[in-house]
Amino acid sequence: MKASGKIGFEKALVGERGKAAFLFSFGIALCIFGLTRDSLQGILSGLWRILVEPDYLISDYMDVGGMGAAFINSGLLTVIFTSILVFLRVHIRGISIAAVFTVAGFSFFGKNLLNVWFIMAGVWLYARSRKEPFLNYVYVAFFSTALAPLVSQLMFGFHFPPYLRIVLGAAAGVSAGFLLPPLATSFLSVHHGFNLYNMGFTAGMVGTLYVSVFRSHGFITASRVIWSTGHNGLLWPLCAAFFLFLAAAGLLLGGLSQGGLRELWKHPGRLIADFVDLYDFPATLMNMGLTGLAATAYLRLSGGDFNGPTLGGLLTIAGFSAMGKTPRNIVPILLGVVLGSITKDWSLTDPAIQLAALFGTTLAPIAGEFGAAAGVLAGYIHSSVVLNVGVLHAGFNLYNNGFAGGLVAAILVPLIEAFRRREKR
Amino acid sequence: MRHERLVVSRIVGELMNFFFSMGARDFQARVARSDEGHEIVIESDYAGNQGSKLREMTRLLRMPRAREMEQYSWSLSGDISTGQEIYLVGILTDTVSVDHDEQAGKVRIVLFRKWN
Repeated sequence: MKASGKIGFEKALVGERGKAAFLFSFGIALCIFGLTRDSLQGILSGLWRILVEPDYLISDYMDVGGMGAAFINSGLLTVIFTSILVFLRVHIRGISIAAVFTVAGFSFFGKNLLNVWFIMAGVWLYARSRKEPFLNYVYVAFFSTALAPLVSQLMFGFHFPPYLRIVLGAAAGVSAGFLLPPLATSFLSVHHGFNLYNMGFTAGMVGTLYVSVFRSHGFITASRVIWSTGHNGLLWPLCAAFFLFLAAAGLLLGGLSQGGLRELWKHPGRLIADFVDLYDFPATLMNMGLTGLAATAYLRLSGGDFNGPTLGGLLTIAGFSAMGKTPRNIVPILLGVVLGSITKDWSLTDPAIQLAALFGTTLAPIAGEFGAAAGVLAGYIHSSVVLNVGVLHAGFNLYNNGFAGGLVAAILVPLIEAFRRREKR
Repeated sequence: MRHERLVVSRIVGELMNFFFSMGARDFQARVARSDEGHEIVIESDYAGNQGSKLREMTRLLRMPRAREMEQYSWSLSGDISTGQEIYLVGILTDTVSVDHDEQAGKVRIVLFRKWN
């Protein structure tokens, strides 16, 4: 047998324009829904409040600016970030969907139309300093916006003269963005790709460094939880319908052809498992829908709240279902958190635990690679670790679960590998 | 990309890992550097019937190069091997040719990675 040459994407069931149109439509749909939730004046004043709010964890934009403004903020950022990919002529893959959906999700509680650009500028400057195109760092830049609250806190959270606040906030954001690219590569090998939110681990480390310096100078931020409730009646059917739509669209586009979804679900999900490249877009879309539905069902059945942060969790799960997550590998993690609720002194409905369960699925590859029992163990341990690491970066790293997940994976994976079996000779 | 030498050595490491996991006893790698890039030639045997694994390997090696993902992914190649990392080799290389002699139980792979 002889084979040569690279596979062309012209044979894909859905072309480049189709995939870009999907991401644009998603952003526009968020905007349209936002417009139905509030008056234009209400949305504009809500957006202003979102921009000037120090938004470290947990700051629910549905509470800060209202549901309409929160959806508009998310929708606009989704459209803008998709436009960046299109402008750079990036081939839309699983990682593109994961990056855009993660931005969309976190734009409900921490990323906004102002604070993300300073981090992006820092990454751009790093690329310039290395004499490399920004294209090479575009995903690092997207995920690096995890540290966006650093900018908002310095600009709007301290009582300095305005010009000083702006300079400090911009400098902190740009410098953080500049530091993250080389560290992101380096930290990947710490958890061997078993923590899907690698940038959360990296940003957690960098955030810890910054916060340590702030604390040494007497700047202390009090922890807080801005968490809206009472939206379940509207948002859970909306989430279920959206994920059902994704699954149905994937099915209609041919997601089951050539065993696409069946093969996809066999994948352990370890980074970089780009499902769009490996199994094509329709099967990926089906997986996004079904994994999103599984997470929605969990949140509903566990009595959780559907609000900005949990919507962020659901969208991030859906996004990473194009790059690693499947129902098969997230369910053991969720079960591990449920098990923790029985033996530990917290409830599944505590805000931090709702997020720990949803974002704890960052460890899904552990279940995918080492089995369900290892996944349950990872979820169980993660739900404890995540409650203790947020204090290190004072909530400035939005991907707190990625930070905790990195620590859990770094310890758990080598231990599982050591005791699993002897290597075949 | 700054870590060009490391990337090439990881590619070789990844493939060595893969073939040893399939019972290879004789794995040979040759890397030639030129002004255009690195040519990596791998010749290996394997044990038993590995047809489906080799077909999947070929499919993954044929994935188009993805420069925008390199910074985010190269350090994972040649790491813990779960059998899926060949995809990383695919997206790190520009051209590929796989010659599989089933009778002799041998595979010859020629990869080329252009300088960034």
